[in-house]
Amino acid sequence: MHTDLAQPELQNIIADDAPLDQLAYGLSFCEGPVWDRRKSLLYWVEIIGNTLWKYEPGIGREIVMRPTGHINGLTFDQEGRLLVAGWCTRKILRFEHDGTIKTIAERWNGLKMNSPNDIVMHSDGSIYWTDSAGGLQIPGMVAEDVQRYIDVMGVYRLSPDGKEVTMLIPDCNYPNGLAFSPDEKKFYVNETRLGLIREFDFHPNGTVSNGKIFHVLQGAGNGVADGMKVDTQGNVYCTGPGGIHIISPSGNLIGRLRVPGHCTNMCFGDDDWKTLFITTFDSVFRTRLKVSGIAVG
Amino acid sequence: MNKFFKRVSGPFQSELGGITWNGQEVLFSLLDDMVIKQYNPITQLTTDFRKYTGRINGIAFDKKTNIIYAAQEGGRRVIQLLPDGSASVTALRYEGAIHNHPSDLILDDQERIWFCDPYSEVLAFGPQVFPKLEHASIMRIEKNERHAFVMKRMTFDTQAPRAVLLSKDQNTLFVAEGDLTTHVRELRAYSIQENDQLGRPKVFYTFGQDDWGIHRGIEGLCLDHLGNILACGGSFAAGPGPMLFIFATDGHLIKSIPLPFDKPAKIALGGASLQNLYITAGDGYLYEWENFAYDE
Repeated sequence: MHTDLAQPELQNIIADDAPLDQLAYGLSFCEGPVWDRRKSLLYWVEIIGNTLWKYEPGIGREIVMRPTGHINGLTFDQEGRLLVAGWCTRKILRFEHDGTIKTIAERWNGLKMNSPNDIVMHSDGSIYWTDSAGGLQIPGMVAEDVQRYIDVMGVYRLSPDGKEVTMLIPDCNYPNGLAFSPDEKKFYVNETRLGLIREFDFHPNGTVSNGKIFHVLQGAGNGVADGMKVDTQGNVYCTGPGGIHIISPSGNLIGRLRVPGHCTNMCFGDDDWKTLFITTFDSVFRTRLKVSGIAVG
Repeated sequence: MNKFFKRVSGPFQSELGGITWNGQEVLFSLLDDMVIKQYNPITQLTTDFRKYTGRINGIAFDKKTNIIYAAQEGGRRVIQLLPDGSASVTALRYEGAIHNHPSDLILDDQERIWFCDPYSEVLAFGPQVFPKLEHASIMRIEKNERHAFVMKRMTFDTQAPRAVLLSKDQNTLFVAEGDLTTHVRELRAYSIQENDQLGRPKVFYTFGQDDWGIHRGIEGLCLDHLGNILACGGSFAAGPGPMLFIFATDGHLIKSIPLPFDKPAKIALGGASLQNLYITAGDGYLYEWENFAYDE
């Protein structure tokens, strides 16, 4: 795995000879990787390819669902149910254990969501997602209704009881990736078109305050602020120009993982959560880290 | 200089594009602002008709269904603006590929959508995943026997079609072909043959170039009540200037009327009796010629 822009701390995160394995290729806009710790397999989506995939180490990849409605970000809840940022479906979906798919949120103040982009769950059971509007306009991604109704592209919260959708952060430009710090006291949201990451103080009642710019992405190459995750040391991993930018909890760049192609997202996985799975427009890659990511589900 | 035109809406900072009459208001598109505005000739007020349009340019109102068909340049597709406020996509792909950036369209009596599909300097939304088509053609979207939208290529000799129109009898397709990047800029008439192919075009008008630059061609087309073709184009930058042309369907130029504003874009008739002429322009205004008339 090639790295650059490295500070000495990067040695503590990834070895010089870390592998970069290509697990899948020839796909159409991969996104939403998430590790299923119960089944020890990786899920991801092809947004334009309209497919949900899984990859089981030692076995290979297999289609789980097609068409999907051009779904995007994935995560798991504490019961092991797949949570989906529905993008062109304009919904938040949950895959139930009985095989059915349940819509758990689709409107705010009576208005249809724009196109839920990425999703994360808090340990208290509340669910958060970004609601950029790209799924209504980007060629190749076709919602049933492509009219936008909400004037802002915000970040939303579904209460732990699943009854209340609130707009958590209204003043976004084009929110995309989102993540909590390991202690869940910080909440990060990146802005694709501004090329930066915002940091908020997160409160136990599900509100945020003290928003500020955490880090401005720099460098050249394919990629924009898109997928974002956090490791157990609080380092923030964010897609950006050239690959994945690793940023310290204080907001300084530690180094960059150079990813072939246009990197879209990443997730931690395997039993020790030290494998990093990476999606690009057309491929899925895997590398190994020295640190664990925050466990999901 | 023509004294009949007056500014009825604007100025807008955005590029102005498509225009249509929906029976009550003049609808016109602001591409950069991603809004369709509505101008009411009676109240003389302009308000938002539809927001978040995604760089819609050409628009056409279907009075049978109250659906507005829209050439969404930014989304590289033709969409339907439905009366309930929603919007849906028609056909998206031609032979499996996402087509270019539709700029203008017209609906025929069989509810088929004829549209120009040129390239655009303005990128589509999102990552640039899809290459442009190898051709920039007039395309047609229609429903197949399963009522699904399908797309057909109609012209094979265009490089930058800018505006499209059908004759009153629906037997002729008029195309404003060419922009400042192409060798020719001309108004063409293609007969629509019984085998559903287009005949060889007849050229009604050709624009030139000189030491001052390339003469801007036609950007907007519509029919008047006689079936004559109203075409607007040109600019002050080079050539004879912004112009309204009136052609008979046989191709003879009935009249050319200099326009007092630069870079006319799209053109439509409106008002209760379709008595007014409206043109969107590059200076950011909507212009009206009330009780439009011309002498043959």
